Amino acid sequence: CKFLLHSIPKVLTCLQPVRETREKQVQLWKELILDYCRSQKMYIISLEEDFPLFSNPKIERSLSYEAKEVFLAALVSEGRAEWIDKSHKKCLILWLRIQDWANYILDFVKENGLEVTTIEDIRSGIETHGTELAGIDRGVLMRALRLLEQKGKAVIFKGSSADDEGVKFSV
Amino acid sequence: SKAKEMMELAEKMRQKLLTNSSAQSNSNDEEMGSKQDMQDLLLSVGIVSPVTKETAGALYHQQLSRQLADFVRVPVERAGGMMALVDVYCLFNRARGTELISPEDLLQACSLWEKFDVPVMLRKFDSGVKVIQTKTHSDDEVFARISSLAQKPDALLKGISPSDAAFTLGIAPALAKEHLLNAENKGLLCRDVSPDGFRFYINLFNEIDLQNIHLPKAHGLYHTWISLATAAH
Repeated sequence: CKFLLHSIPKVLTCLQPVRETREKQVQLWKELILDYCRSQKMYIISLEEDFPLFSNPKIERSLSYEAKEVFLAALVSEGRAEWIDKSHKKCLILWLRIQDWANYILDFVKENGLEVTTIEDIRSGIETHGTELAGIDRGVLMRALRLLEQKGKAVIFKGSSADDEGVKFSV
Repeated sequence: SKAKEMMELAEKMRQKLLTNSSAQSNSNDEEMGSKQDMQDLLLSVGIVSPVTKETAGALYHQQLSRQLADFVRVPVERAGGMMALVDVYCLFNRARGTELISPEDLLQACSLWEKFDVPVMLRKFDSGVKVIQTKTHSDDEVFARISSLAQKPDALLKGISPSDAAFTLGIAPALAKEHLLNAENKGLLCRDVSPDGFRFYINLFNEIDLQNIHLPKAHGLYHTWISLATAAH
């Protein structure tokens, strides 16, 4: 990945008209976006704002709006992203699918013996440092936890402080 | 508008003549007579040529076709093996002097080449541009030359423009662009469009292994590209 990011060729940023070439280009960008967001722990891409992956000052090239839409729409089709708004200006990137997040959380909880914890601890507690969970998007986390709830693996409850919630896992 | 009415009437009659002539055995003398009358009437009005003249025209096109094949061979070869049809049209008519042929005649003459063993062919690009090319000037040969041009270190980084290709292939820039677009369609090249114009590159997308995006192929084109790119920056 670092090779590609170091010097993205100009052709990568130009939407290719030939179908087969376009398909490869879309595939490539889907991987790039997922990898980048995972490594930078980013969850939201806003099409109307600058996004480091989409601009390369070295080659003085940025993806066109249309190109960004095409690549993100492809991720959405594959279930690896979701449009946050109707006008398709903001995109939630699921570099792990909700189901995968749910599994990851369960494994994490088992390994660390955390039967009861808070949402905030999952997001920023000491145990989560260096794991994928560190800094997880709150919305994504809640969806994963609710999925676990449906499967009877967890219970979400209101915490002692007004703005915090806790989770009890049954592993 | 009277003239227009006349035209419309004459056209209707001509159409009727045409459909009647293709009808099966209408060898009724009476009908033949009235048909002849109609043809004479139309001839005197001087609007449309009767059916029989069109049949005779077939021989005309065959002769024209052979003449054209003989004529174009040298100019097309001199132009690098390919020449736009419009240019051939001008050259040919200029050579003929007063007996000018129409674009339709030219096209028809070219289309007849398929039936004869001539060293030239008519070829239509996806964009609609028609050219005459020598049969030895095959696509594969052109692709090989474009491919080798596109893989030179300079071209890997900066791509090739239609003028670059024209220079290498020895043909007109407009035709060179057609070749580049054709090569792009076949997946040999990819493009970059910028304010500076069109540039084509060897299709790097073919080189990227999507299963192993992080690992450029050890001895592939992409590896070469990366070394050049890192050196350049």
